[in-house]
Amino acid sequence: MTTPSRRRLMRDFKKLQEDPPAGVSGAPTEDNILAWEAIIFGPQETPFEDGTFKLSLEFTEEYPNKPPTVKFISKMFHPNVYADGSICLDILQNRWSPTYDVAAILTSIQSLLDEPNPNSPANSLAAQLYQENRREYEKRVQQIVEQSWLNFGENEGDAVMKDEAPDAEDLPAGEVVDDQMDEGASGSNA
Amino acid sequence: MVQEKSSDENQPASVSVAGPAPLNEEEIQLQDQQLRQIENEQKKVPLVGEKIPFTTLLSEYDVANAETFLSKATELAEVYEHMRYIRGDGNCFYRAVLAGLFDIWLQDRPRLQQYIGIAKAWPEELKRLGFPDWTCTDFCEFFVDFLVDVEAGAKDEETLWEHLNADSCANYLVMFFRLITSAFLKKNADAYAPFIDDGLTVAQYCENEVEPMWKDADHLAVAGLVQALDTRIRIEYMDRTVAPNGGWHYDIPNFAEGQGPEITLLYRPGHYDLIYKKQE
Repeated sequence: MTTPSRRRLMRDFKKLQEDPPAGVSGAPTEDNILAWEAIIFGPQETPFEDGTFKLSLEFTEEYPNKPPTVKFISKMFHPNVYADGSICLDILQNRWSPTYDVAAILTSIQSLLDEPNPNSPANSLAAQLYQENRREYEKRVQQIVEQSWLNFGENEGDAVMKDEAPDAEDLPAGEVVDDQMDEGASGSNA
Repeated sequence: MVQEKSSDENQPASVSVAGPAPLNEEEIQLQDQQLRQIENEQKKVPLVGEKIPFTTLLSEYDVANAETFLSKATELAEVYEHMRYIRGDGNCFYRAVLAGLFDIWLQDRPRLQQYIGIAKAWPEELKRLGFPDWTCTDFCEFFVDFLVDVEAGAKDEETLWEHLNADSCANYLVMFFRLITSAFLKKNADAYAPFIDDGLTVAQYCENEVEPMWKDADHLAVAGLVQALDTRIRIEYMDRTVAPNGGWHYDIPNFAEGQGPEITLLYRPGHYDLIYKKQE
């Protein structure tokens, strides 16, 4: 069954493959188009440089009218990221717009890494060090950058790193994304 | 007779828009929590209700507590025969228009074809106005495909009403309305700028008030959508103001006498429902 949200997520995926933004990648997990994994590379010339951070994105049938739940799986040290990896970012909460796609979400999170908002701290130690002791802050960030290499590729995150992950036929909504509109609309009346 | 007060000059000269205040984390959490509670309340009502007798409205009021409302409702009941309740989730104006159009699409094939033409023209216009590329045209395509299916008879009436009550599908159609409302206002920014307070531009106003889901439509959004769709609507106002003969209505845009509205909405403070006139 193809619902509008699944149809849209297939398009997000196609778009991300055809026109990938620099330094981010993402893909649905093999058995569930609503559950994605993504990688964000730490922006160059920032303390996060060379980090390869894994994230999970959980969508609902209400996407894109409601944002996905996005979390860092890799350990993160950042003023706006909670201990459980949840991210405090306005566009994922009260300023979400259905016109954002997965690429926009991932690039916004990438920008957030080096442009934290210390006024809405999710990690008060990180916020404090960022404002008062930048050297110690960068040292802590360097630690999680190094950890991101160690944990990389250990588990489910593998799917994202395949060049063409996952193959079209592995996905529920399969090959012909563009031709499924009819089915897409009529499939949502379950 | 309902008192005619339909011209735009009778509208307040400005629309008040609250600028986005920066929230701290605690406030955002609290806001999220409150929003979830409101959402759970809202979900007890269907997105679009069944067509029921207009007189059902009378049972909402009693003489002791709401005499003015009751007397207005009683007078409206002489003109209107049926109504559909619309869920109060911030999309009620857009959704009421959508539900009203469903009736037209099912009954008037040439008009349906006109709507398909109108909808097909929007993707290019959105691109021209600088809306984010494919995510916006995706809503347009969905809307057009939906209408083409209706035209082809690929969906029966029952299925259509089910779609209108399925969050994912219905809200996709609502989002299309929001985008073209915003596009119409931006395209005619010079005309609408004087109606916006707080030093916001028309574009900023649209980004704050029109494009996000779950935001109530104010008069500007109402005017924008009606013209973007090239339709005619009448809004019957029912509030506590003392107005003779059951209140008044607005026609948007001003259409000639003898050319009736395509859709009629009932407005009560903060909320729109869909109503149907008695057949003459």
